[in-house]
Amino acid sequence: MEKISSFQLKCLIALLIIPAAFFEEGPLLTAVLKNNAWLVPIGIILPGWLLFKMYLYIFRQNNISFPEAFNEHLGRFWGKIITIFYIFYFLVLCSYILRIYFEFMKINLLLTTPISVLFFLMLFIGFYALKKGINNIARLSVIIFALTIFLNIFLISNCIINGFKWDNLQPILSDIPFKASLIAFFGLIGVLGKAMTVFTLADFVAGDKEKTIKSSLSTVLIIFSLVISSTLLSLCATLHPSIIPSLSSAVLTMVRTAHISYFIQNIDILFISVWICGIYITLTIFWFSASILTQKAFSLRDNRFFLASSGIFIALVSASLSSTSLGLFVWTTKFMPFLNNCFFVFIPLFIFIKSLIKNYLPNKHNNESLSIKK
Amino acid sequence: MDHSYNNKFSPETVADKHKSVLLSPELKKNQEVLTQRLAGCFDFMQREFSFGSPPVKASIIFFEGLVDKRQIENSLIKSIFINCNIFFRKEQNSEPSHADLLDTLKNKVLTLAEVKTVDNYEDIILQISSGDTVLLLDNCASGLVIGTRSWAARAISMSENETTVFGPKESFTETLISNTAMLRRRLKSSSFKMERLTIGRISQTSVCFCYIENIAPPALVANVKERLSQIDIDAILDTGYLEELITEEPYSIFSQAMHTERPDRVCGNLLEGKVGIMIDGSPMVLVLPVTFPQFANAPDDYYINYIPATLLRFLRIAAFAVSLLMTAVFVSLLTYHHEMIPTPLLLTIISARQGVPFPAFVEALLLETTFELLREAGLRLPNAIGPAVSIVGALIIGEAAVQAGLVSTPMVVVIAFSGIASFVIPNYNAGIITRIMRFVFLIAAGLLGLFGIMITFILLITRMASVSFFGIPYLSPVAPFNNKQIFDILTRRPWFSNTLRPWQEGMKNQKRYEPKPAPSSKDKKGASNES
Repeated sequence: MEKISSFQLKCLIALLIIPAAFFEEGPLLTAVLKNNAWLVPIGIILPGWLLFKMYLYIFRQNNISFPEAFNEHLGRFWGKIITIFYIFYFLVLCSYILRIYFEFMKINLLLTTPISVLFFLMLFIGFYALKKGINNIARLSVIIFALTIFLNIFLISNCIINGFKWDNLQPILSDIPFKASLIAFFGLIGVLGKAMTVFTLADFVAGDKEKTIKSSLSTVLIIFSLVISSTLLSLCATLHPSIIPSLSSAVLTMVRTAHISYFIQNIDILFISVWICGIYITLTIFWFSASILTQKAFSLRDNRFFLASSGIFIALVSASLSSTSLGLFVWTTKFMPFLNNCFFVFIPLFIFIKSLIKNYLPNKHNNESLSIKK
Repeated sequence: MDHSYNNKFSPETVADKHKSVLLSPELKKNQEVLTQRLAGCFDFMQREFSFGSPPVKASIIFFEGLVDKRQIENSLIKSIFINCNIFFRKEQNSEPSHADLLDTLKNKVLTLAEVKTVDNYEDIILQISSGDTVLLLDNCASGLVIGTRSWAARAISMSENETTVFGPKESFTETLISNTAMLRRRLKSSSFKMERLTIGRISQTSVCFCYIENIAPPALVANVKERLSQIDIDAILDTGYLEELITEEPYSIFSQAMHTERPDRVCGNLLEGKVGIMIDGSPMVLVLPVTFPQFANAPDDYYINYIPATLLRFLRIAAFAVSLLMTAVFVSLLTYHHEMIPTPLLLTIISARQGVPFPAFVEALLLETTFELLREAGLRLPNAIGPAVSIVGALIIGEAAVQAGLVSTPMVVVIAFSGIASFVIPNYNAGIITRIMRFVFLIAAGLLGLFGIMITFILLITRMASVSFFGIPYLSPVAPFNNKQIFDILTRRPWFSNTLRPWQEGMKNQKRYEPKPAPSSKDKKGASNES
């Protein structure tokens, strides 16, 4: 079995969390923290690092990937139940990502193309990549990561050069209510938590798994905070923070202001095209993780049946998430942060505490027995 | 009617039957069998004669046109007549046996360089088909194969398909031995190995695969050798046959080996741990394994200064992108995303397209097809007519089509530009892939605009990234990413910093160049004082 290298893993994790965060975090963070929204991704570095440390602690206990880790910590029955929940949640995440992609296509690119065509195309290329295996997805992620980062840097610098308004960022660090900060914090920590998915791929990681995953998570945390912070900064600076939550796609509105000497203009389509690549990798990894979890949980030899049936499930759930763009906005700002936190923060936190206690108790017993002997 | 291949009655089964049949001691019987086997071959020649005292009956057999008759006359027949008479005079008292006589002829009489013994019919036919002459003696169950190969062959000429400004000009020919000599002349080392095998039940084609022992990974060499030896086909007429027969992905459109006619290019690749495969009768040599990014390298990149070579490589990569995507992007902009085109330019394009009866997609498809027709016609027509067709096609038909309002000038410009860009790609096979994929991108752009282009791009790179040939991923060193080798693809490193060969799994000797420490300024001063 070919293994995923450290660099490929970094690209995979980055593409797992960054492309969707581009569009999710703009409206969410500016709605609550306005002109200070761009500071949250920087402030999240320490909590994010602690979150990743927690994941690594759980992983280190027995060095096995999920869902075996669930079985180990929660017992066979509850482990399987939680695994099934995670499978469904990964598929729901795929549906949500597919829906975001559709909304953008419908609003900005192909206004009259039916939903079925767009869904079919994205699911088809995802299915094709999954058939080719995780190594293939890892190889692709390198190309797409390079493409995405390059374009992101270009666009943000262009927006900053062309329409940066310092006044939009003023006053810095003022009017930061506690509740708003908490919403912003949990919104972003939930997005970062998606990186936990990488533990389902632990079996495919080359070399010292823990070390590779640790270094990858640390690198991605820095990249994530830089990319999202700079995107939010340029969003707030070019558009006014008060209007961002009301825009259907604030990032695209910002990108539309970018131009090269007024000759190359309206390059938002180019941005969407590259963004589609990122979304494609995100969707594929979640889908692959769901498939791997199912294979392991139910000891399946082949994942073809699962891929075909789950493809239909993803499409159906995606179509029925909401009937309007406003409904999707509610999903983005309310439901998804809640679900992300449940699955990627609270459940792992519970397991973490449980394993801490488990590790602490025998030591306590030992200490007690030692003191009795004395 | 059943057209299925029936192995029972195939000629090769007959040939196999004869393979184990040994020669008879009777010359007459041997002659009869050979005449019967080669009945209907007008070029089959037999010359019977006797020599010595008591006379020994002998016969020489060969195919006309494949042998050097002067060599047969002077170095074979004449030698036997003169030397054997002397030999018999000396050995008058003890008459030698015919087997001894064959040995004597081989070791003491014949002055030709290449003489070996043969004992079955199939080998005799194979040898004479290759241009050798066989000498058979009466009362002797074996014969002598004498190397007298000589046939009309194309002289070594300049490379036609891979022309360069700098560097060697010669190219391979259809003669295997001449090709191997061209390589041997460049790589004068005992580590440079050339192994030979025969493939093709009817064609019995000589195939040579070459590598440098301490550089090429042994697993790769063994793999190639095994795959070649497993080929069971009636005939091999070109290296293209082999590429499809030994490949891991037979249904892939991507070229899995580099076809080249330049000895210097083969040597360069052998020095990077690759394996070359040559066949008799083809001037093209297969080099494998190759990766897709390698197709951006031109032979003379390595003969000119590294800075212009690097810039030219960038130009080639850009030309590849233009050739692949320009038409598709133009169609998608015109059809779906007008807002991206600056207003004055959009107005110019719209005014030029007024009166054109086709949508942009159909117009582009028609022009692309016409361009491909002209290109193919130019290739197939004789050299004298080819350029004329291109000129007529490009200038007269193009101009007439624009004037008639069938196509617009901007579209002609775009198609011509992407066509010219495709000529910049230095590898013909990579060029073909680009041409095919250009149509796929065009259709995707016509259907779904930039989104369609992006979906096609994702599918294309997914496919390319999933393919590995002989254990090397097709998109490496881009995907999987290799930071040490990526610069070797994007740039042409200067030789003084190109210390390592491109890495391959199992490669033993990666060091290419040992940099010597530069003389310090003190040494230089000392040297100038001494002088």
